[in-house]
Amino acid sequence: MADAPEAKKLVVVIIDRAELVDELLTGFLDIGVPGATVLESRGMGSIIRQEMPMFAGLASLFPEHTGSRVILSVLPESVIEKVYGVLDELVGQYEDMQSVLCATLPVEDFHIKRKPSE
Amino acid sequence: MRLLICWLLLILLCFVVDLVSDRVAAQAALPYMGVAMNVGLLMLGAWLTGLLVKRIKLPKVSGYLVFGILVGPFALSLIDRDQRDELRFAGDLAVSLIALTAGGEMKWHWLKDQIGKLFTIAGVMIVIVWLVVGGAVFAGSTLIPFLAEQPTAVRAVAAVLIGVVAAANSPAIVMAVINETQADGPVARTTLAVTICKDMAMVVVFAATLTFCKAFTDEDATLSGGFLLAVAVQLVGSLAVGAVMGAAMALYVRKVGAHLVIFIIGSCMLIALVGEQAFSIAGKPIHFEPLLMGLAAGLIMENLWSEVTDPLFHEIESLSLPVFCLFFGAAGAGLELGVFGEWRVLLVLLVIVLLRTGSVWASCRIAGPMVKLDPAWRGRVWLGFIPQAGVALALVMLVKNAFDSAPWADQTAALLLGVIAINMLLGPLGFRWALAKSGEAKGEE
Amino acid sequence: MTILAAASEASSGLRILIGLALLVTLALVGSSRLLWSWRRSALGATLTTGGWIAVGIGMIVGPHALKLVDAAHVDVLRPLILFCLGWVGLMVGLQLRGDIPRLLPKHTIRGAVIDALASIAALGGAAFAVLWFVFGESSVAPCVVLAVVLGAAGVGWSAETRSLASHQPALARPAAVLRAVSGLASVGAIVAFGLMTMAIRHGDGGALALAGDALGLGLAVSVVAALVCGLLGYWLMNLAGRGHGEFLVVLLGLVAFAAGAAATMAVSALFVGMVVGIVIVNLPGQTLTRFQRVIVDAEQPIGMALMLTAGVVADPTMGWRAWVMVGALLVARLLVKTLLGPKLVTAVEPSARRTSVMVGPLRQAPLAVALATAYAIGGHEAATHPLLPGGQLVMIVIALGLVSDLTPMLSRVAQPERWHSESQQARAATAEGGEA
Repeated sequence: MADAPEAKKLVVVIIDRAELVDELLTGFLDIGVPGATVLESRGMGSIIRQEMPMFAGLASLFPEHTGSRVILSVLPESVIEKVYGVLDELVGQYEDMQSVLCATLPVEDFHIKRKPSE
Repeated sequence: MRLLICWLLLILLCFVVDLVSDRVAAQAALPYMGVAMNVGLLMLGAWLTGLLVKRIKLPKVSGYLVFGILVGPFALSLIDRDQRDELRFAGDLAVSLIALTAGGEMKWHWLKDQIGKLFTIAGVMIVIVWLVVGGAVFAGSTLIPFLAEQPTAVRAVAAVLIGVVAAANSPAIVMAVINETQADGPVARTTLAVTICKDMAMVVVFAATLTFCKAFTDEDATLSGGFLLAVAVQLVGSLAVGAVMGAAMALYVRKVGAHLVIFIIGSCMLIALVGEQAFSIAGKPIHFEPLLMGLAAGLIMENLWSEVTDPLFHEIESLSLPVFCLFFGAAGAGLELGVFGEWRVLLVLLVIVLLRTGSVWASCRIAGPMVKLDPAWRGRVWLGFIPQAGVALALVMLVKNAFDSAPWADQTAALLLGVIAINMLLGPLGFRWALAKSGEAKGEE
Repeated sequence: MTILAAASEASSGLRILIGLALLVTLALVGSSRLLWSWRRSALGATLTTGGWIAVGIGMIVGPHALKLVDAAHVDVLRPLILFCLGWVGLMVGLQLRGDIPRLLPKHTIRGAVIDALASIAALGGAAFAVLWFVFGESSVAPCVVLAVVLGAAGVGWSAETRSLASHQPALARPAAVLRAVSGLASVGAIVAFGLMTMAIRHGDGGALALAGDALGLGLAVSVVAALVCGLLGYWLMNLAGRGHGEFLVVLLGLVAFAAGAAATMAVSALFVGMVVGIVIVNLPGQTLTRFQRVIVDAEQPIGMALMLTAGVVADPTMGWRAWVMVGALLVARLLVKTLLGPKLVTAVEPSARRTSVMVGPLRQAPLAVALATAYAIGGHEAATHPLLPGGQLVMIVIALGLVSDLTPMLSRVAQPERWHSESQQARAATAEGGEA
C-alpha cells in the first residue's frame, strides 16, 4: 500500500511592509516553497484613519500608507517550521517591524485542476 | 566620505542660521527659542561624530563628548553658556531613561543573590577613593593655588568634598558602552549593578557629607536628628514613587500600547519633573531621586509584568541612542575647559585623576576576593568604575550652590569639572577594552 | 476643599507636573484604539479630528480655569511645540510628491489654488477691515500681518469626512476629492503664513514694518536651509540603515533641527518643515518610505499636543471687538466657501453635487489652529501684541472653527431627509449587489 500523502497546510502571512515582500518571497524560494499568491490588502486601522485625517489628507490616497500584503500558500506540513524560520529572520533584521502575522490552517483537500492532455 | 560631508554640512548650516538670527535678534529673543535647534544639532552631530570616531577604534560615546566640546563655548560656540543651561533637561531625560533601562536589566532573583556583594564592592570603593583622594588633597592643600590661603576648616571641607565627588560614577557612560558593544556577561552586569548601587549609596553619603561640611563652615548651621529621617524618606519615597510609576506605565502598555516612543519620553520627563519638586520633612528639604524612581519603575515592570512591558523596553532600548547622543553632547558642551589653562591647577587635576584611578583599582582588588568575584574577570572590572558623567556633574553643582558660590567653592567645582572631563573622555576607552578583553562585547550595533 | 480648589492651590511646580501628566496621558489615550469606536460616530469624528476635545481640555487646565498650566509654562514647552509644528510641516510636505498632478483628478490643484487665494483675500480683507475700523488701528503693517494670519487660517477645510457619511460607497469619491483639495490647500496656507513671517521686520524704535528685502532674504535662507536639511535627512537615513535607534536619532534630530533653525531665524517652522518634507519625498529610496510612514502615523498625538497647547494659550476673556472679528470672519468664510467650495469640488467630481459632502468646505481645517498657535508662541506675536495678542488670535480661530464645524450638524437637523435618503440609497445599492 502506498504511503499516505503528507498533510497540507494553508499558510496565511500578513505583512504591513510591502517593500519587504520581495525579500520574504526570496526566503520562501530558498526553503523550497514552490509558489504563493500575493494579495494587496489594507489594514482595518488604515481604513478607519482614512476618513479622519487632521493634517495628512492626501496621504490616504497613496499606496505606501495603505498597503499591506497577504501571502497565501498551500504547503506540506514539513515546510511550515522553515516558513516560521524565514519570518523570524525577517523580523530580526528589521528592528522597527511591528509584526508579521502568520496563521496556518489545515487543508482537507487540495487539487490543481488542469485541462486533460489530448 | 558622505559621513564627513553630512557632518560638515550640519556645522555649516548652524553657522548660517546663527548669522541670520543675529539680524533678527530682537525678534527671536524668546526664552528657550534655541533649544529645539540645539537638541537637533547635538543629536545629529554627536551621532555622526560617534560614527566617525568608531572608524579609528574609539568608543562612540567619546565621539559624542568630543562633538559637544567642539560646539560648546570653548570652541565653535554654536551653543553658548546660556543655551547650555537650557539643555539641562537633556540630563534629566537621560538619567530617567538610564534608570528605567538599568531597572529593566535587573532580574529580581539575580539581584537577591548579588545585593550583598554589590553593596560591599560599592561601599569599599566609596571609602577607599574618598580617603585616598580626600586625604591627598588635604595633605597637599597648601600647595593648591586657590586653597593655600584658606583656613584649615575650609581646606578640610574642600578635601572632603573633592574626595566624595571623586567616588561617584556614571551609570550613563556604563550603559552607553554596554549598549554600543551589546555586551552581556558578568563584567557588564556587575559594573552596571555596582554603579547603580554606588549611586544609591552616594545619595545618602553625599547628603550627609554636604550637611556636615556646611555645619563645619557655617556657625549657624546645625546638624539635627531630622536629617536621618529626611534622607530615609527621600530614599524610600523615591523607590515607592518609582514603583507606582512603573505600575502605571505597565497599565498604559497593556491597555493602550500605542505611541510608545512619545509615552517613554513623557514618562522620563515626568520622572525628572517629580525629582525637581522640593518637599519638607522635619524642616529638612528633600526631593525624590529620579535615578531611584526610574530604577524602581524598571525593576517592577521587568519582574512583575515582563511580557506586557517587553515592547516598552524594546522601545526604551531604541530610544537610548538618541538620548545618549543628546546627553553626552550636552555634557561635552557643558565642560568647563578653562581650568586646563592654568598649569598648577592642571597638575593638581592630573594628580587627582591618577590617585582616583589607583584607588579604584585598589578597592576592586580588595573587595573582589572579599565577595568572591570570579578571578577570571575581576581584574578588569575596575575599568568600568573610572568614567564619570552626569551624576558627578550634578554633585559638583550642588557643591557650588551649597556654599553660596564662595570663591574657593567655585574653584573647587572648576577643578572637579576638569577631573570629570578627563574621566569622561578616557573612561569609556578603558571600559570598552575591559568588555572586549572579557569576551563580552559583541561588536558592531 | 474640593479637588478643583486644591489643584488650583497647589504649588507652581506641582501644577505644571499635574498639568503635563494630564496632557500627555490624554493626548496618548485620546489617539489610541480605545476610543476608535466612538470616534467613528459623526459627533466623535467632528470633535476629535477637529481637535476640539483637546482644545477644550487645554482650556480647562489652562490659566483661565484650573490654572494647572499657565502661559508662562508655555515658554518651557516652546521647544516641544516648535518640534510639533515642524513635524506637522514635514507631514504636509511629505504628501507633495512630484507625481501628484498625475495621481489626482483633473482640476484638483486648480481648485486648491483658487480656494487659497479667495480665502486669503476674503478673510484677510474682512480681518483688515475690522482691525482698521473697529479696533481703530492706524498703522498698516500690523493689520496686514494679522490679516494674512487670519486669512491663511481660513484656507482649505477639514479633511475629515466620516461625519459627512462618507463611509457610504456612493460618497467615497466625492469624499476623496474633498480630502485631496483640502490637503493641497493647506500648502497654500502654510506658504502664506511662512512668507508673512519672513517679511516682518522691526524698524527704528521697535516699529513694525514689512520689508521686501527681509522677505527675499528670509525666503532664500529658509528654502536653502530646508533643502540642505532635506538632503541631510536623505543621506542620514541611508546611513542609519536598518537600526531602529539610528532611525530615531535621524528622525527626532532632523525635525528638532529644522524646526529649531526656523524659529532661530524667526521664520515659520511649518514652512521650513514643509519644504524639508517636499525634498525628502521626492528623493528616491526605500528607506524613506519608513520615514514617511512614521511621520504620518504620529499625526494624532502630535495634533493633540498642538490642540492642547492652543487651548492653554487661548484667551476666552477677549473683548467685544475680538468677537466682532469672529463674526466678520464667519460671514466671510460662509460666503467664500458656500459660493466657491461646492463649485471647486463638483468641478473635479460632478457626482458630489447635492450630497452631504458639500457642507464639508464650510468647516475649518485643524491646520488653522496650528497656524494660530505657531503665531502666538513663535515670536511673531510680539510684532502685533498691543493690537491683538496671540491668545486672543488663537481664541478667534477656535471660535470660528467651532461654529463652522457645527454646520454639518445643523444640516443633519435641518435636512434630515437628505442624510436619510443617502443612507437608503447606499443600502439599496448594497442589496442590489447582493442579489446579483
